[in-house]
Amino acid sequence: MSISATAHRLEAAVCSIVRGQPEVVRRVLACMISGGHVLLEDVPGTGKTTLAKAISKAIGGAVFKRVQFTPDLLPSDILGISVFDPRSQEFRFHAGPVFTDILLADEINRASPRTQSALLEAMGERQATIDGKRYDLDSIFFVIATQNPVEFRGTYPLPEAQMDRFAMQCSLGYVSAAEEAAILSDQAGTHPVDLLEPVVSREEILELMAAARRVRFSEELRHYVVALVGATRGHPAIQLAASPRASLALMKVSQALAVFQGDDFVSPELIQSVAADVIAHRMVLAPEAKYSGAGARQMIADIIEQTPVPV
Amino acid sequence: MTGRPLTGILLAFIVESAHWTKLRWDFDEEDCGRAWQLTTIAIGLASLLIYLDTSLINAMPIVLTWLPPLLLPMQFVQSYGLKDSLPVNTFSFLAKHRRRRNLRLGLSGSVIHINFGNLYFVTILMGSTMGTDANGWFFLPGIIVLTGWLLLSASGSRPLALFIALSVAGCLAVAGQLGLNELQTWLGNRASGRSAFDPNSVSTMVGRPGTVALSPDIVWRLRPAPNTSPPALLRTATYNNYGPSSWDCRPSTDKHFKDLDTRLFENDPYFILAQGTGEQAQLQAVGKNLPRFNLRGAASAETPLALPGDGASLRDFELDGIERNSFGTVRVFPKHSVIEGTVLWKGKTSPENPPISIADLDIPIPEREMLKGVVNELHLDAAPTLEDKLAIIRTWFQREFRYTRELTISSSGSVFTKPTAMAQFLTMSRAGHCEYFASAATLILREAGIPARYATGYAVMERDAKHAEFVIRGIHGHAWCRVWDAANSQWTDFDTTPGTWLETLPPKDTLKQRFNDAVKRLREDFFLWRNRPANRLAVTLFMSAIGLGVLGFVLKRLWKSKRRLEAEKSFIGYEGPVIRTPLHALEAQAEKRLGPRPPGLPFGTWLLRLRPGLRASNALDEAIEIHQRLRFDPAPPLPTEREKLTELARQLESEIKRG
Repeated sequence: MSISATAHRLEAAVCSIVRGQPEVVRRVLACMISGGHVLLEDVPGTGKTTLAKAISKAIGGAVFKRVQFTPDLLPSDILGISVFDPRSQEFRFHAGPVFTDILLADEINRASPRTQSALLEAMGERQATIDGKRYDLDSIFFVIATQNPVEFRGTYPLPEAQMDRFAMQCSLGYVSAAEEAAILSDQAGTHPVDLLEPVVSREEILELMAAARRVRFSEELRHYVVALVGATRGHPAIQLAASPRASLALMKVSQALAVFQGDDFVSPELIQSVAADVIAHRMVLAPEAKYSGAGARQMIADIIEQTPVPV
Repeated sequence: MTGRPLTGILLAFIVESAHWTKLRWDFDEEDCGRAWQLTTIAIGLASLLIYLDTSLINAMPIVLTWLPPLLLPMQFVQSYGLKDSLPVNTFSFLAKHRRRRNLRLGLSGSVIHINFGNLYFVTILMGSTMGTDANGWFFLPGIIVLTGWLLLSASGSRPLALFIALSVAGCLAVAGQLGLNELQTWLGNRASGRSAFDPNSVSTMVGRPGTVALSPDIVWRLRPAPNTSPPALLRTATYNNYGPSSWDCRPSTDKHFKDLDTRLFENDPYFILAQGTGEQAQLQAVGKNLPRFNLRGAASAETPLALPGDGASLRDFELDGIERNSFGTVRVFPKHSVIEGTVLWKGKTSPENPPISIADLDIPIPEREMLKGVVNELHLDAAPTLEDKLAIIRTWFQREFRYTRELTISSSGSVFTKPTAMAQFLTMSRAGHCEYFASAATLILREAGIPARYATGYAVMERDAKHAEFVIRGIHGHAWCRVWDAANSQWTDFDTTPGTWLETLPPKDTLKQRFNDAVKRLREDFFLWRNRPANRLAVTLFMSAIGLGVLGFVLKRLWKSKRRLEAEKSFIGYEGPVIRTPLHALEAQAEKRLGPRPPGLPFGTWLLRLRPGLRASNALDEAIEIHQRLRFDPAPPLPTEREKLTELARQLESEIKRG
């Protein structure tokens, strides 16, 4: 069974649940394969949680955990806690939900920055340090965080450092009327995600991740990636530009996307297609730009338009 | 650059060298802006200098002629830049500002780029047609043929359509050129009343109702020697034949202008105003004891000098030529646009020749009877001397007549219609302006048997205490008569206009007028200062130093930032090898169909736009796929891939060409 067939199987299974969003699904899956994490920012009811559940169910043997972020959530609620066991007279570690394959951090911006930051180390280094002891996380550690962009009351915007840990930010958005009707008929009886059978195994996912790392990336395109990310630095409308981590993520996500396309090398088109998802959320716009209605994604689109692409 | 082959060839060399050299600069929007600033400053300075040298109307064509060298920085930025177009917002401060603001606000603003070369070409065409040698009959056809040749070699198709288009353009160009010439002449005449000056004829407002309106601008400035008074009247021209609403010169044989005699006196050259006088008279005309004044003003070729009626000689004027006619009208051909010199007067001679017995006593038939009545009424025949006669006439005009600029007397164009305008003035209304008084006095004197002429010029009346000089403005324009004093063999001024006319002049002390005066004064003084030989050298050196300094600065900056054009243009930052695939050969053909590729659009995506018009769309897909692999896959290509792509590219190219 070839690698791209595995990728397509996974993609098809998730797309059968999350209707009318094939592109977002592919990008989210590519993000997972690249070893990154995704932040889904969308209005309620567009299928963010369904997407996360569908991905976890499609992977056989994958552990899926979900944390509903609330203002009173504590870091130990996510990472785990050492509890004194009176029988053995020693502390025993109770692993938190972070020790999983797929973690759905629902409404991540409702927790306090302190709790949000508990995820920093886990997301960045795939490890957790609790009471001075280091614990390695699962090899597929994929965080799907969701947040709601319209509600501000009782929310804590994610710190910039936390935003930078997400490889991608994307949104699902509304689907077409026909797709929405199909969703209604799908869920007439039971929810289709409950019926979803695993289509790939954990090992296959690890294989996909390895394959993504093998996708060839030409030197010239590496410079192109750096040029795109570099263009955000020194831009008069951008207060905090994208970091080298953005360049790295852009390269890795493009490689993973190439796996889903069945390619074994990356083309400039692939880089361009994910550039806004990978770069835009890391930037902090200058105040006047923020209030002028300019969007970070539009600015990335402009940068793509103006940066000469290798032909 | 018609008429200036060296400059033209140098410009062409600079612009066209871009095709032969790989020297390039990475100019960005800021640099374009700087080039445009340089260009605008250069255009502004050139316009100012040319305007100072001539008038506004004459300056425009000259600036147009010089536009190609002035616009060179912009063309340079495009020719030697890495991009082959310039952003439009370079040219407008507001657009540039808006673009910067949009960038700061993060708003998307796609910039329109234009090919400045086209604009530059149009400028060159326009500048050429304005050049000094562009009036030949061969010029326009030559330009059209050259343009046609250029277009034919550039596009290479549809010669008939090109021929028709060029013919239409040629006709329009002829019409445009004629129209422009007319417009310029008209504007020129409007702008400076003096360019319409005719030493042989002057039209008056006698017999035409209306208001006399004259320009308040300064025409001459007169600085008398200390403790001397200036002449009351400065004459520009004299005429002797009265016609309906005009005076002209008769007989026509005496109209010719002749160069003035010059005489060296104490190593200074003098122009002697009286003609054909003997040695004694010439010595008298340059005499040390004669009163003198300094005259300063703007002049162009054939400008009449305003001189006193008993002017003796002139010195210090920098002229290419000076001549006078037998009526004493003196005109100059100045070396520079502002002239200054010393006028000596009270020389007991007249610049004009003695009277012509018939012409200077001639009275039109319809006026004779009326004038006879006037002369009888004044008992002029009873007065023994010329002075007595003049006194009687002067007193009569002072007492019985009223000065007004609001003219009401109307007569038909013919002098034979009765009552004539002159009769209405002398016998009925008895109100008019200087032209009436001067004409009437001339005719009355003639009726009394005294040769008389009609003179035009200026009254010296406005003293500028601050600068210790008298200013002569357009509104000081005056007319009077010249009377032959047979006893002294000399013409003398005789002004019969009531002295009240000086009080009726419109107020001149407005802010605008003061500003205009100051500008004019500054301009003239600057020119006189600049034209002095010692200063001229200094100014030339100074200007050259500034020019060379700026040029040196720009060249140094350019030299430092130069770079070689690589064989293949790559995006900035990557220095490694760039792979060419056979599909790249399609770019020129595809550009004809799709227009130029935006810099950020990948080649494959761009080529896919050709798909709807292609039958072999599968071939296109396949070609793009192989191209992408060859181009972006670091792994070594399959042995046959390149050949296959070559074949596909050839196939696609022929299909695109077929359309």
